[in-house]
Amino acid sequence: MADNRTHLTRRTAIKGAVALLGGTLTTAQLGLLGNSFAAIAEDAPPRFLCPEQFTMLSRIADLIIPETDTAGALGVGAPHFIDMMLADWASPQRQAEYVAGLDGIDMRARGAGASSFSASTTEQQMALLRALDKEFFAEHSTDPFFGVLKKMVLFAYYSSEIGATVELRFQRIPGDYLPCVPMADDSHAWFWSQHNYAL
Amino acid sequence: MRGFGVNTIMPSEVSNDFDAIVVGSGISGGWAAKELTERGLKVLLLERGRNVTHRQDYVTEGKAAWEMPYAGQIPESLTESDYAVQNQCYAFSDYTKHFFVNDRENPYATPDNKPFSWIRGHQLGGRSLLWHRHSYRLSDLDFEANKLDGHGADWPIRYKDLAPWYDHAENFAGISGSNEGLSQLPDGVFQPPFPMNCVEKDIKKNIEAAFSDRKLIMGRVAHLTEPTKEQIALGRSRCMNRDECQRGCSFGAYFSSLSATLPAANRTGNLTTVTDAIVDSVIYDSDSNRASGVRVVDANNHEHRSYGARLVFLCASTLGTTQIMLNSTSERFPNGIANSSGALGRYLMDHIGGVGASGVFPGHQDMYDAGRRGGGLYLPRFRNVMDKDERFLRGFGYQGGAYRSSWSRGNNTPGIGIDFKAELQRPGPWIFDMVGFGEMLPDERNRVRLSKKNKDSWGMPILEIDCEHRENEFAMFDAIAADAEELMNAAGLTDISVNQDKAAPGLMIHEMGTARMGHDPKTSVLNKFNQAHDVPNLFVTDGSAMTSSACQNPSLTYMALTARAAAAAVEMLQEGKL
Repeated sequence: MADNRTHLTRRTAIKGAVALLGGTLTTAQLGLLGNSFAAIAEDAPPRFLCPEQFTMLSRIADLIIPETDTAGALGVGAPHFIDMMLADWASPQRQAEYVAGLDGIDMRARGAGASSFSASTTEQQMALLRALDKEFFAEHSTDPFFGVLKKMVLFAYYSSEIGATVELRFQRIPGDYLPCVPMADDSHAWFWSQHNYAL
Repeated sequence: MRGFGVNTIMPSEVSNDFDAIVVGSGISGGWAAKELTERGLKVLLLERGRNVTHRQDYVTEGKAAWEMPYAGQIPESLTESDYAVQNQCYAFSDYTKHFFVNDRENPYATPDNKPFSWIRGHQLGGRSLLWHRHSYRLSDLDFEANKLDGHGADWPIRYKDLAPWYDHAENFAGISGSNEGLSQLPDGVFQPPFPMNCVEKDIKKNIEAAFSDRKLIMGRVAHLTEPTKEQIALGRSRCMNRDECQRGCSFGAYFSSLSATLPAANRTGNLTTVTDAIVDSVIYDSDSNRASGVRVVDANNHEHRSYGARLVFLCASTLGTTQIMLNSTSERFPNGIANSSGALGRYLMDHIGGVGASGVFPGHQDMYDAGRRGGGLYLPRFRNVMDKDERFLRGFGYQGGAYRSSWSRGNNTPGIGIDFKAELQRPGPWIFDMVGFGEMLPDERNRVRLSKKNKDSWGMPILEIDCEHRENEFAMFDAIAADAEELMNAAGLTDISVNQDKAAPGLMIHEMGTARMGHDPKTSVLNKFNQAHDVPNLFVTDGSAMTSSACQNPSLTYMALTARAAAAAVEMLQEGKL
């Protein structure tokens, strides 16, 4: 009963909200933004990274957040989003950090005997990324780039519509604050837009 | 559904025939406009920033990350060039940046080794759009503090003087919270509090069992949980738990000038609002010893004009008001209007903050919350309340809350791949955190001056802000950290970490004190009714009037002081005293 009541309250609230906001929230309108997720075609060429580094970025994003029963980083367009961020959002220092950082990862792959990161086997790629992740979290870590990249991949994935609403859960207008809700085994975490979030 | 917009008019249509001019449309200015117009005065409200229409101009309201440019991130070069200071504010983001000033266009100066973060919002509604909404009364512990320990002038009022005006402010603004019977944090007129989640309830129990002098309560916040008829009539409705308040709220669920005071003032038919009007100075008439009006620079075309009135209320924010007053010079007041005391620009305070602690709550793994509650918890002051602490004067409180972490914990968690993704799909551990808000002593060395060299692009001398934490503040910072750690332990938390990063002065955005109230015209600018000792028809009711800072979030006190001053001013006007 309590759940039903809550649900009704929420629905009423959302109906009210749409009226209040004058229907300004259509995704179609918002999707026209050139620098948001929706606007970038899947097969568009990268705008900032060179094709080789873009391939590498796509591979790394895929390995950090793979497709499972839900879409992964590739499925939400994270590589294109990150490339757009590097082209339009990033400072020159940030851009240089990514170019050098991706180069560094490629060098590590070559040092291990491969002709390039992208030409390595999935097992080799995964092993290298796991090593970089471990090094990043080690006490005397000297190279922050993998942490920066991983943070960006997570941001891209969970800030996408699929990441926020399918992988996680999202309520645009919650209506009520329910302080103590029993969790089911498959309860997903809530997504909320984090303000002043430092990438 | 539209309506209750504020009518703004073009300067050329404005006559000079006003009873009162109110400078600034933030929390204090909105209240001044409401109280004066409701008492029948014809009021001209001047706002230096642009017009913002309630609802229509909340351009990022309701947008999700994927609907924003750069998923809600501001281009890094733009942050660096235009928002280096504003970006330090927790509420500053791509969703809200249009309600913050551009730092490049709004310069001020600080000594190299003494940063001061001046967070500003120049638009109709000012920072009432951006505030954190915690609303607490001061008590006589605060009003008597200066007199008892000798720091700062004695407040010319006591709690009983302000109590009915706190009632009035809470009633109209709509504050949700609980009555707790605490002498240091007087009860008030509250709508039902937001509920605590399971973890917060346990932590409350644990802390209160461990310390008889401490209470963890739901924050008293300016969110409607059970709107009154008056609030509904103004177009306001209850909080929808989005926690995106600073983007603007079309529900009018949190108090702002745009949702509450300006619509109330507007419906009297007595309010005229002019935006983009930068008040440069108050005009002083030496024959009558009165303020006869204000000089204005048009923000867009930089043209000068002036407005006259019988009464002037300065509510331009602490430092904005002080800048105007310092710039209002005359033969009688060579150092700024109503500044015969020399106190104007001195005794600048903020709260001290940034320091706090967080930890993990080990229980309730099978429970979660739903909705994004816009207000958190409050742990009221307990130091120097009943006993005297030898380490420092005055006190501090904490704000905090418990929440289950979400995907962003992945940034700090080793792992990649399928298991990592599956882990982040679930809510993380319950985190409880708290951050201190401490009182800063009034000190005449913490001051602002007008630059003799530099002017802004509207010809106003820029402010030089010279403010720093001193011995008592540093001792209090240590106590805030130590007590936070002790509270975390008592709360039953694990993985406790103490944050020692002290916020720079200004960053708590509670700057105040530079035109203080006092009994003595020789040492203070304003009397007990926020009326300038030197110029009877000049009133100042924003944070600059504060004689001490207390440790409570101050906005509710500005509302109460403003309403009280407005009532007094109208009475004096009617009695022919002004």
